[in-house]
Amino acid sequence: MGQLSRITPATLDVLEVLLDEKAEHYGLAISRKAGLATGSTFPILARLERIGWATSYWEETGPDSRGPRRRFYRLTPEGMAGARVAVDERRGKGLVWAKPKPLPGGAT
Amino acid sequence: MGEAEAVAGRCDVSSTWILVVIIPLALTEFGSWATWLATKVVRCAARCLGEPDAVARYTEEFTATITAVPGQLTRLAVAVGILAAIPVLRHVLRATPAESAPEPGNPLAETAEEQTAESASRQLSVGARRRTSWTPGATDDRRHS
Repeated sequence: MGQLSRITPATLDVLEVLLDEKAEHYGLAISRKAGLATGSTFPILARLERIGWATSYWEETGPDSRGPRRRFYRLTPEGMAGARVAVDERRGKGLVWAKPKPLPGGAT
Repeated sequence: MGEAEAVAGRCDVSSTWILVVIIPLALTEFGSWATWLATKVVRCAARCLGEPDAVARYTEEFTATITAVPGQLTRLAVAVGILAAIPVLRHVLRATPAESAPEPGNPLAETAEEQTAESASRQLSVGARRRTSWTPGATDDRRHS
């Protein structure tokens, strides 16, 4: 897998949500957790699926259940590795930005 | 004076009827229509994708999405948001892997068209945070200033 050279914050937000392996993630839940508009989440998920970073599967429903099924998304092992790198890099950058500026004269 | 009071009284009655009966009825009626309309909008959005497999998949996925949204008018808003993002989704689904990853070695790099559409879609989201593009590994001048 190559080095990430450019990635939008929205994609990083989605990757960060998908990194949580304990929960089952579907479109609306991912949008809410990532703080994105629902519509903008689906192209990101489609892109992740297309490049093999994510996979999706239909919700298992019983014979008595009615209504449309949700589609769940999760990261593949390759996607998990790439997402961790990208998210860690962003978090690292955030920490650097959060450092207080040194006071003039070297005072602490 | 008596006639004026009578007219004022009739206005009060009319206002009361509008506030208590007409507006709630209209909102209830529109709410029901909004759910129906939202379903139609997402089905139309999925049909715009073109490919039969994608249409079938996203029709069910989008319908499940708006079904999970609480609030009838909110469902309509979400449906419109999904419809607004359809050009980007269609572009992603139709793009060859090479087009999907414009930068070699970077499968996640997004095209300018997708970024523009994503930005437009985000503006539909109420209270969306202001974001800027971020380049992993790029040197940030603010760190050194």
